[in-house]
This record gives sequence, C-alpha cells and structure tokens, in this order.
Amino acid sequence: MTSSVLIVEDDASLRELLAIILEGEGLEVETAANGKEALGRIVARRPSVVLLDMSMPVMDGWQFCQELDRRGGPRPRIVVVTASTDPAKRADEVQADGWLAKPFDRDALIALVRRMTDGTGR
Amino acid sequence: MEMPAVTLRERVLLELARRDKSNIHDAFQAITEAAAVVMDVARVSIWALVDGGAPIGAETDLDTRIVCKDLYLLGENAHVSFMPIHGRDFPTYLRALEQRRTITADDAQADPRTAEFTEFYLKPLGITSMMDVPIWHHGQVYGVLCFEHVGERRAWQPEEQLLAINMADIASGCLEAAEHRAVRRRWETAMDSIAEGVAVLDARGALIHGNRAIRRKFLESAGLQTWEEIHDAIDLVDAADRTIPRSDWPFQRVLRREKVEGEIYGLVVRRTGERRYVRLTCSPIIEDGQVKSVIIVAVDATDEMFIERLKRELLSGVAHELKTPLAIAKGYAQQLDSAKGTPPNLDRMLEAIVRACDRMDHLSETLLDLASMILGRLRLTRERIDLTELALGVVRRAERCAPSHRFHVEMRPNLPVIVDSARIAQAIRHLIMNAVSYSTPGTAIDIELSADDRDVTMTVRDHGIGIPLDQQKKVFTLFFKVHAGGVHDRGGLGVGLYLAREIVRRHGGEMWFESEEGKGSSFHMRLPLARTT
Repeated sequence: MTSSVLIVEDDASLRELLAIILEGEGLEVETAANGKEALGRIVARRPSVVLLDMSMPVMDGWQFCQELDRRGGPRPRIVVVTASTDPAKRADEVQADGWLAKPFDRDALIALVRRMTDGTGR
Repeated sequence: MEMPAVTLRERVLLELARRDKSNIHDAFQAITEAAAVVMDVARVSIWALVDGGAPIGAETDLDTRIVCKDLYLLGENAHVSFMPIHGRDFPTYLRALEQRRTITADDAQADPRTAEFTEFYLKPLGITSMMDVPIWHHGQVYGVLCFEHVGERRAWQPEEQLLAINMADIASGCLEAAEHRAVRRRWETAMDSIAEGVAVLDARGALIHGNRAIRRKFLESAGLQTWEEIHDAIDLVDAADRTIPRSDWPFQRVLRREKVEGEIYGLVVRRTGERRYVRLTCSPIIEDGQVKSVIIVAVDATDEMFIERLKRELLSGVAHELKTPLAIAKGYAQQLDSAKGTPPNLDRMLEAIVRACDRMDHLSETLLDLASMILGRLRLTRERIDLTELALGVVRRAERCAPSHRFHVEMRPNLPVIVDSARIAQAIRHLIMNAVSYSTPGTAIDIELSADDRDVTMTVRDHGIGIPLDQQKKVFTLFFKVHAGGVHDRGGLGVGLYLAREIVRRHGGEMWFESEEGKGSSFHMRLPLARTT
C-alpha cells in the first residue's frame, strides 16, 4: 500500500509545490488549506504523515493537534513546517515527530518524509 | 444710640472681607477709604516697610524705608501717594510697631513713639492724633495702617482700636491672597510650559486643573471642549490595543489605591477612530485617609509606540513573512533543477535562484536575530560543550566556503564552556567570514584558541585591508559598515559584528579587536571557561 501524505498549508502556491515534489516521489498526496479541512481529510483518508503549517486561518496548527488528540485514535506522524526561528520548539509544542524550517531544502524534505513513511521516523 | 454705628462698621468689615483681594492695589484702596469714612479720619494710609536685609527695627538696619502704598484723603475723596521716608530717622517708632498691637497716640506730637514725625510731618500737615496698626505678614511686620487725625486732638476709643486691628488683618489677608495668586500664576506658567500633560482631578473625576498640554494635545486634538466629554468620546486601550473597561481606567485604579506608573495607554477618539498613545502616571493625593484628588501626568508616547511597532512588526514581521515566498521560490527552482534532462544553462540559472533565496533567507534571519536582540527576546539554550570542537566545526565549514584562503589553526584541545552552541557558532562564523571578506584570496587566516584558568580566548587574524583608525571606534555600532560605499564594501547590513558581540556579552564574555590599515585585523573573543566538576 502506498503511504499517503496530508499537506496542511494555507498558502496555495506552497501547498501545490509540496504536492508536486512529493507526488514526484511516488507518494499519495492529499491537501488541506487549514486545520479544519485537515480534520475532515484525516477521517476520510487516514494519512500516515501530516505536513503541518502552524499559522493558518480558521484553525491553526496548534488547534488542529489539540482537536486530533481530543478525538483520540491513532495519530499520524506529524511534521511541522514552520517559518519560526525556533522550529524545534514549535515541534515540541505539539509533540510533532519532526520539523522543517521554511525555506526548506527540497532534498531534505524528501528525505524527512521518506523516513516518516518508512516507519523509521524520529 | 451706638447700635446703628456698630452695624455700619460691621457691614463695612464684612464687605471688605468678602471682596476679591487678589489685586493688592485695589484692595488697599478699599481698606483706606472704608476706614476713613467709617471712622471719620482725615487721612488713612497703608505703608510698607521695605527692609534693607537686617531685622526690622534693629539699630544696624539703617536701610529700611517706609513706602506709601496708598493714602486716602477724606476731605478730597482722593487716593494719593507720599514720598518714601527712611527708617533710620524713626527708630523708636519702628521698635514700637514690632512690640504693640496698636500705637495709639492721642497727642501724636508729644507721644515719644510718634514724636519723631512732629517737625517734618505732623506739624506741617496739622496732624494732632495718630493711631497706627502694624500689618503682619509671615510673622513679620509688613507695614502699617495709619490713621491720622487733623484738627482738635482726638481720644481713640477701644472699639475704634478694634476696628483698626480688624482692618489691618484684612490687609494681611489681602497680602496672603495676592501671594497665593502669584504662586499659582508661577505654578500655572511652569505647568503650561512643559510638554507633559498634567491634570488634577477631584475624587469624582472632574477636572480641577489641566495645563496647556492637556488642553491642546489631549482635549483639542480629540475635538473635545471639556474634560467631562472624555467619558463619551474616548475609548481607552492598552498597549496591545485591547479596550479597557471603564472600571479599570487608571483613574479608577488609583481610587482603589493601585499604582499607575508609566503605563502606556491608547486614547481612541470614537468619532474619528484616531488614536494617540500616552504614558500615564497617576498619583493620589490623600487627606484624612481618603483620596481627595488625583494628579495625572501624561507623556505623548505615540511616536514611541510607532517605533516600537516598527521594530516588532517591520523587523520581525516582514522577516518572518518572507519565509513562505522564499520557500516557494527556492522549492520550485530545486524541483525544476531536479528534473531529468534540464539543459545545463537552465541548471545554472536555477542554482542562482536557489542561492539568491538562501541569501535572502540569511538576511531575514539576521533581521529576526536583531529584532529579538533589540526587543530582549533572545533566548539562550545553554549546555556544556567543548569550544574547541565547536570552533573546529565552524572552521571546516568556512574552509569549504573560502577554499582559496589558507587557514592556520592552533587550538588547545578540550576547552569546556557552557553556552548556546548555535549562537556561539554564529559569532565565530561571523568573525571568520569577516576575515575572509576583507582579505585577498591566497592570504592566511590564523585562528587561535587559548585559555588561562578562567577564560578561553579565541583570536581570528587576517592579513587584509584592515580598518582605518578613524573608523575603529564604530566597528561594533549597529548598521555601521567600515568600508561602506567604497571599493571594499562587501555588502550586508552592518549588523553582524554587533550581533556577534552581543551574543558573546550575553554569555558573560567580551569581544574586541586590533587593526592596522593595509596590514589586517585581529578579532578576539573571550568566554568564561566552565568550572571543572
């Protein structure tokens, strides 16, 4: 079974770029523009990895993780994609499995997502 | 019948006591005139003792002058003046003034206390009886209220003496009132000439006094006529623009005995939405255990807030907002570059885009660092590390960036420090890249790391262009670039060395340099060694 990745990012161009890169790597990709949309996708598609922007309208990354934990059930691996100067702290705040600082390196992104989907994450 | 006369006198006294006393000249005229009419005295006058410095009546003070402030002539119904006379000519009289409540001289020309006036004053004017009452002010004799009777000698009656004393007391009151007015005017002038707004409110919040800055800057500019309109026309917000409920307005908090000192508030004019920020300090004036009034001092903080926001939002906000577009540009360039069969010249262009993105990212990082440094938000995550190892890592990466420079490294191994390793690496990297920037390829860069029993010192020496003597003091100044605009300008914001030194200082260390133009520079960095455990 192909691993699926859910990209949660409010910036449409960046969302599309992330999708193009990861689809090019043969991954199944879903997208959402905010945390609320993402919750719907999680239920429908059960992705194994979530690339999560933190600052978003409607429902941000923190609220998304909170809601996810409230609902219970298996948690997908979460990779925080952030413009923060302290990405590790952001990741810590939501107990994410990894982080990527914007602007990221394409190869680093691929390597990280691979590690996560292989189940060798962290 | 005595009664009507007494009643008239009482009425006159009451009138005098009631009238506005703040104009001393008018008040004195009213007193002399009323006294002359009521007591039927030909000449009533007020004189002031203008002393030469020594206590009044003292034999040494020969400079005291007695100056006529007003002289009312009953027969002519006229206020006139009289030339000043010299105290030294009337020592007995002056002493008597100080010692007595009144000087009643029924026979003025013979009475020893007033006889000094006889030849030159009393006789020529036909004055036979005198009654003089000192006017006291601040515990001293200010002057004298003089009743001068012309014609048959007159025996001054006790009730006349009492009335005269009352009138002199009213004159004292006038002096006090005039002084209050002068003090008040000085105070108001001072208050009006300062830039800070000062308002005195009573316990209900009504304005007792507002200086010019309060009237101009805070009322007029908000389109208000009176202070009371504030409550309907203004919303108060805090520094983060959250509306403050009326019950928490600084005035209310002071009534509750809370401290309001230098807090920033925004005044939002409801009608226009215009806002202005002020720094408020409110002090209660407490009498009998109750807040009787509140003094509010308001300093305009609009510019201060603007600059603060500029720092916060422009510096960190913009730097932060750059990250997503940079991620898009860099990501697409790398994605295109990764496609198989990209033509080689397109390859190079895409790589240039990626490099440009990295440079912009570096700039935004610098701005973010600067913002957190200036705003005091720089957090250091300290851990015990080996500085030698950290420095070697930085040098190795620098060697890859500047392959044509020769790096000479001399480091003592194993130098434990407790630092934020990312920040210290940033400072070291800056010193090394600075050395690379300002020296020609092929020259050497010497990096030494040594220690005594307390500190570790790192030196980065280049053999480049050096720093002109006249610019050396400014090297660590924010936004200062040594070779700005010249052929040696290496770009950048002029922020790096400032940041590097701040980082080192926040670790309890120091950074300094020596430099000679044309020969090169040595930058030094000292950090405290970790105690051996």
